[in-house]
Amino acid sequence: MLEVQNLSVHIQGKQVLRQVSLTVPKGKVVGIIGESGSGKSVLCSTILQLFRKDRKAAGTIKFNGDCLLSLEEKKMRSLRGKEIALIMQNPMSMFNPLVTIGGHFIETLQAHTSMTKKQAIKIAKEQLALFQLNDVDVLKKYPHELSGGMLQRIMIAISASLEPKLLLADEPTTALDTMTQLEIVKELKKLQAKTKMSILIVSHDLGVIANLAEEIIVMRRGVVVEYGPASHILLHPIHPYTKTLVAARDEHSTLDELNDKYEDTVSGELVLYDENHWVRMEDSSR
Amino acid sequence: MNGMANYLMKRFLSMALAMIGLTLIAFFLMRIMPGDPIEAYYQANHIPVTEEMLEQARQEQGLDKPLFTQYITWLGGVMTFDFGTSFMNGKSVSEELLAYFTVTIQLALVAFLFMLIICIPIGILSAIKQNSVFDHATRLTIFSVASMPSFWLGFVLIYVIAFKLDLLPLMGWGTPQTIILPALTLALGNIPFYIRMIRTSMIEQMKQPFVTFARARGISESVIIRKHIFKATLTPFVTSLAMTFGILIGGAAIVEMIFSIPGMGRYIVGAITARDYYVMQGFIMMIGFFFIIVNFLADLLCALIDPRIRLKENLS
Repeated sequence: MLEVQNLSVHIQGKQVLRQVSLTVPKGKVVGIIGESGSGKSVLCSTILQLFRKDRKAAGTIKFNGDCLLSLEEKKMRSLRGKEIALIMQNPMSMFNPLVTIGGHFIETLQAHTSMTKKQAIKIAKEQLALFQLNDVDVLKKYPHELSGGMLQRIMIAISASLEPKLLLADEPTTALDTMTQLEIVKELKKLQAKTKMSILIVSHDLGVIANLAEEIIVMRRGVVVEYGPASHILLHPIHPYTKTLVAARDEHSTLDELNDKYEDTVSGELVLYDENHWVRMEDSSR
Repeated sequence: MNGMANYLMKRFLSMALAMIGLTLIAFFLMRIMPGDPIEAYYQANHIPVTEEMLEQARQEQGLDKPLFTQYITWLGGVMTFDFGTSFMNGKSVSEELLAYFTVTIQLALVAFLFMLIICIPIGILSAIKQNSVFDHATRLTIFSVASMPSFWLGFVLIYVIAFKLDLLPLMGWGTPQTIILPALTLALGNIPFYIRMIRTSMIEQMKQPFVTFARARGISESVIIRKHIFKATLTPFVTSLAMTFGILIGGAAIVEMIFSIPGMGRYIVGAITARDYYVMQGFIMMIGFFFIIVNFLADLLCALIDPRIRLKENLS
């Protein structure tokens, strides 16, 4: 499905991703965990080729046989939203304040199909019903009239309306309160069970990742630290950084505190530790 | 739409207030000027006059009554679009003003249209093609245009287009061709500002997260530019345009002089030199009313474009 190999990204001469490799198999949920600044959001937008001009990317990103890094813009655009959808953090600022929710739905559907406004509205209503937003008025509402949680659900509904094969969820629960976070995670789970789409979920919240992902990638400062099945990572973390991360969750401390706790830089080679379980071994431990 | 009705009500009230304020200024500010209007008129026009003649004229014009009574009488006239009669020629001020006003309005409207036609595409293009050759060339051109006074530009236009190339009439009024050069002269002075304004706010809007999200949904660039980026720049644009429209009417005077157009600008300059009191008051009223109404309409337009304006107004 999605195969990223040795992806390195430079933004304004600064390297933010170093030799990142990962695969998202069909129908699976892969989670990326890491503190802010670890480059996980950059990974999402690079997969979609959103900031082509401002970024220098090397390596390969393969999606269903297409090499995304060299794909021409016109074809790339037809993939965005239709084959690969993105939901982002901060739903409050992701909607154009001058355009109704219905307008956002319609333009998305019409960008990829030749459907009429009426048909688009019909599909939008069906989608909203799936996400417990049956209130017909939602389509006529403007973003500022809705809560962050509602907007996040609407964002998921819009992304799901074209039945993409891959969903990139970039911090979908950040900036929401705890109750709403749980709801959003539930919605994503339900959606995945129903559509069997592949999901790459990115978060700094291990709880969210643990709840959804079958495979987990731990990232720190643009480098993959550990990569393996969720059960391994959560129960038997190998790398000291992952260990601190898991411990932090059990202590209910936040990642920012973790940032202070963990000072060591990550170095060494990524080696196969167990079946599908890769760990970056520090030079000293080898 | 309840928010809109509420907003409309509030705007309407503030418009009415502004209009009352305008009548007060138009009436009393003129009276602060030294001397009474009749005396000032005769003095300004060097007409020898006796005290009896002045007294008679004052009685005719009702200037011997208390100031407040005069204001009420005048206000009653304003309500029925009667600004009194001109000292200079004894004609009805409102009729004369209206005749000149229609000329100036035509000129301002065409200039306004030129502005939109030139500014919007160039502004958008230089924002999209930021730092391209086109963008740099535009910047250079508009800086040089901005640094020239509009009357000089008018002369250059007349010289090149009307005199050398003989494409358009030199001056005059009445046919559609005669309006092009003066309107262009009038518009040019405002064009640099608006091109820069559109460019700057478009570039600012391009960085908004919702533009990234629209792109992530596969919306085409042209739709993003039209529906998301340009629409977001519209409200400050419309608000400034409303102000500029008033300035265009005021600025028309110079252009009317250059192209000998029988517009309000020339008429009012004449009236001021002659201290023609009722004409000046009528002029202030007419321009003021017009300005207030245009701004009211601009506010409405902005509220239609941006739902947050309607909401904010209701919260406060």
